[in-house]
Amino acid sequence: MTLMTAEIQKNVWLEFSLHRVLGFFAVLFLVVWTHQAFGSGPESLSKTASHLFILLVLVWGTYRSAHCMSDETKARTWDWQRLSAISPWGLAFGKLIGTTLFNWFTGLFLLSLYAWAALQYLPMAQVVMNIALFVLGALLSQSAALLASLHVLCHRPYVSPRGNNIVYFILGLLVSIPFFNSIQMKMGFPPVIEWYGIFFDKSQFRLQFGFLYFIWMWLGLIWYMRSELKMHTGPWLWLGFSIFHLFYVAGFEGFGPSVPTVLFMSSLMLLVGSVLFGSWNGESYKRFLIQYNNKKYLTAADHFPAWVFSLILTGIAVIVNQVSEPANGLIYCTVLFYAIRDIAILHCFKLNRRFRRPIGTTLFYLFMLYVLIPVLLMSMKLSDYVAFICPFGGFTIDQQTLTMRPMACASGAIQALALSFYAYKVWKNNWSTHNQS
Amino acid sequence: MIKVQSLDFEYFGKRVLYGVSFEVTRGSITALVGPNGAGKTTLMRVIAALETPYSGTVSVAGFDTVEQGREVHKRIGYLSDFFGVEPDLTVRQSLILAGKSHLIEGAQLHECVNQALAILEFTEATQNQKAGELSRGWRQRLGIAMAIIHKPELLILDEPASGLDPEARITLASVFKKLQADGMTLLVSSHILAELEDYCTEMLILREGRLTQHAASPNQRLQDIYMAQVANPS
Repeated sequence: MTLMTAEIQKNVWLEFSLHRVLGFFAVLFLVVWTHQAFGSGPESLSKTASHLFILLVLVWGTYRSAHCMSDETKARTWDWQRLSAISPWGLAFGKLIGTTLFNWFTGLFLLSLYAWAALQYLPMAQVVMNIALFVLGALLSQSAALLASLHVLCHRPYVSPRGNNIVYFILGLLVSIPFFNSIQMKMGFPPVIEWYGIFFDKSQFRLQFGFLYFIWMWLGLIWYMRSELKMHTGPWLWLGFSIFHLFYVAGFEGFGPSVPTVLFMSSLMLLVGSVLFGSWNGESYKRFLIQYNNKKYLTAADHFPAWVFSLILTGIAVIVNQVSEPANGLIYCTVLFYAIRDIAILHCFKLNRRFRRPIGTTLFYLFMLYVLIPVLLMSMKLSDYVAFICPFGGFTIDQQTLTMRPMACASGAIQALALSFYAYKVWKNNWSTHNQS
Repeated sequence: MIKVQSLDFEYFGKRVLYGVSFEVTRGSITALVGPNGAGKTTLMRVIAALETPYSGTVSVAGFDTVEQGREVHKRIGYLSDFFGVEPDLTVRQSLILAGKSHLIEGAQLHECVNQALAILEFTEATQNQKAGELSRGWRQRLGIAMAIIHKPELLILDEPASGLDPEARITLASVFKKLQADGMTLLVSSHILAELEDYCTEMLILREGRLTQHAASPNQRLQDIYMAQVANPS
């Protein structure tokens, strides 16, 4: 296998113009010369080099990653690549590294300059750690931006990818923040972090888990490329990532809430994320059922909604809480029922062909259910009735312990059942038999 | 070469193809005709394994487009109606990239590039011209050259002649005949029936997502078949 893939070759031809390369070296020379001329120390030079790395590789690179898919679709060159013989791995590599090739070229020199300056006042191990954090932070940032843009391209092709580029860009930058927080620029005792009762150096911990999260992002990029190349994907990657993420967050005991509570909150967040941003819709449900009925299980799995796994994991988290903290069990049960109700509301709008903005409409209804109506009821001194609308209204403090009123749980269960049934009716009316040949 | 059975396709909740079934024989040039919105582009994209059908099966050279999409991709060349090329790359560079994307390397790559340039009759001067500076006719030739670089068994062309002047259309027709003579099967969609008659051996008529006729009649004028079909759609 050659690393000079078509994408890399294209970027070498397009990006590495003589003017650009000379311009970069002129800036680099100017930086070093200015520091020498003004007699600034190596600390100042290493900081300038790291700031330039952040600007050129992290910020500009993430900007380019956020734009690369929309540029391809706008230039109508994406179909060529989808029809090529390049593997999903090769396409992911080409897009992630190829698009930012010039940025990484500048990054190589900037990191060399950083290392040369930093080694004059920091131990070798710390410099290596910082460089690894720089590289990983930039890779994670670029991967996150590319992943978000690929997600929209694959599953919401009707959304203008160009308009969302700024969102992918900001998302990418946000991902990298923890890495740059852990970079040690000065000598000193590194802070530690406790995970599953073991104490880790904070930078090392972030580097190791950052690397593992980068692997998941990389797998995510390959998953999306497989989807674009019309290869089987299935929902297994999301399940694997969810289990990994829950294992990771469960390790932070002693930071406040108990492990079962952290598990529940994290699985609930994954559920919300997969429902709101997942690729499911009436068409994918229908495709799943058709392929399933035709006994094409592998193809059917490609259309299986990933949020179902998140719902199952949230259900397991409720059971774990029920077993470990029976007194609080009702709280988690109630929250789950209301979550199912909210998922059903979204289904009612999303499965209805008439609604053009189902997520926006659902969020408006949820705002009414969670904010507007409870505030109105409370201002009318009818606080007891809030429990019928959202789980927060059902909380009571009994002997300094937070408990849930059974009425809120029963109300949540009834609403979840009723709206799920209604969502099923909407599905039947809009997708089950409608528009058949 | 192509076998389509009971193909249904829906796009954002709108049915585009209804139970389409037909076969295309190897070595033929098949015209796919029909009014705008008939589903021609969708049908071509499904055959090219770029879109997944709702139900029904499509196979190309014996490979199912859903289950073996990558095998189909290896065996086809596809030129969409609005294809893009990198404007800052030369014709030769564009073809090298197209070849590399089909994992052709080394001496074989240069051989394939030179063959494609020869088939599409690129002169020495145009080979080194940037794609963004090419006229529409030459851009179309570049698109076809990129689509055939890996010597596909099936070439799918969506409205390849649209926007071309008469001279460029005649050249294009001769290119198609040359490719057919080399053993390639072609599926071509077009609005201009007269020009299809010059090179097409079969015709598929698509109306409102339904295949209304599959004519394999080289002795009869395609235009007559189409007009008869328009006059009597049943």
